[in-house]
Amino acid sequence: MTSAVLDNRREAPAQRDEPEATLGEAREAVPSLAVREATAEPAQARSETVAAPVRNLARFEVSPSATEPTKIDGESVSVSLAAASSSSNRNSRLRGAMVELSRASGSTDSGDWLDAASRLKRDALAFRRTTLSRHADVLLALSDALTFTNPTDRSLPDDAGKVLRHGLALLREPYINESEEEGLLVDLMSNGWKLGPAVENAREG
Amino acid sequence: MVGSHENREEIILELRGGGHSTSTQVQREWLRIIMEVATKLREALKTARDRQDVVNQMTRANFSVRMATRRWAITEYLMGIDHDLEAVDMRLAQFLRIGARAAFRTDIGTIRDGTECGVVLRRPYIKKGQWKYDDQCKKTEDICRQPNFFDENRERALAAAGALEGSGDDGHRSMGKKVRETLERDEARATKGKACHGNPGLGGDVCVALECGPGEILLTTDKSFTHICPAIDREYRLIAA
Repeated sequence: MTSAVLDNRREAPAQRDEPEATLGEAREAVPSLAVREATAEPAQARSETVAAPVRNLARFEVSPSATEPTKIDGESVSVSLAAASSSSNRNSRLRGAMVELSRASGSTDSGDWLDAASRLKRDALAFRRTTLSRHADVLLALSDALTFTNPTDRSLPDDAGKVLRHGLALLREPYINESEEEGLLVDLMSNGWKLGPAVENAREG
Repeated sequence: MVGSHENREEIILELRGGGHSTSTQVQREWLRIIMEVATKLREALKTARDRQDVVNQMTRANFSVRMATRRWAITEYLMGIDHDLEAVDMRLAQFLRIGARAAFRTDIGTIRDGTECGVVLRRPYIKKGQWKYDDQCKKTEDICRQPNFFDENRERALAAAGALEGSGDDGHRSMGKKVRETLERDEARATKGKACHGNPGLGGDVCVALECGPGEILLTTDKSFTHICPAIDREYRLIAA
């Protein structure tokens, strides 16, 4: 028999070789706003700094400006700073969500999981229509996992938090591609996490 | 997702460790069921103001008990515990995009594709402002090699059909008769289209069993395999539904 076999096994994206995340490490590793501090440099150099559109793809650092060069005039700078403030707020909020997730990954208390789930869902909804929309989808999936899985489920492996740390590693990145996102979902479900409520079949009469 | 806690736990533990196989024929049916509900739900969310509105819309049409149960189980799963419909819509968007595929792939190492089914490659889409999903193909479409697959496995398929026709179940007998009559037709496209995806059809149980290799165990809740598998010398394990 000739059979075309699709090997749809996808390796979970190479999980970043992260040590077990502590709260302190989570705080340090979260996206940080790369605010260019004013220095004693000449004005020209300073405008170049403020205008820098660089997005560091290795770690999540956001420059205040998008792609347009920023002039040193009142209006442009204020717009840039407003964008910076909004971005800073999102970063701060994402930082908080990651701290909660890190805490949950080290806990087997259902209360801790539900607390984290609540926080992650609120943040997911807040980020949905922003530049962090893919992060939002990941946060919602992790929130669902923490909501619908009981720490005592025998389907969970001994280190149930490992998959949560996989999610944490994705959230640290400035961009999450669809393949990585799908890989996280598969990783969650393959390791006994539930992403929705189970429903008993109604018996037919 | 559905079934008793014991059955779900049993299946999860059986599949623990991965490396197992399934079929695009199973995937096609899974997507048909899931996407029908998911696209309807996404439409319902456009106008629903609260969770009860969603309940009302999703239960509006008349269904068989089995279909109504299935539809509601999937809706409950996708809605979670949310009364915030924004969260439901967000979850649903991800589900349509990747979630359904991810759920199917979980703990599965290989999705066998003896027929090279083109229907499983389809995605939900928007047409005239409404979410749609095309779960069926036509005989005239060339999106698979299903006729070749049945040519290569003709004797075994006929053996399976004979075993089904000899069962004590009306549904199984009907399936067996359909498989045999279709295979005996001297027409290149006889096995395609509705003959494949219809109920009963060749494309489901018989195809799945034919794709199993020697030494493998077919895990199922469907009793048709209690007839098909012995006829083609394949092991099976029936989990009570």
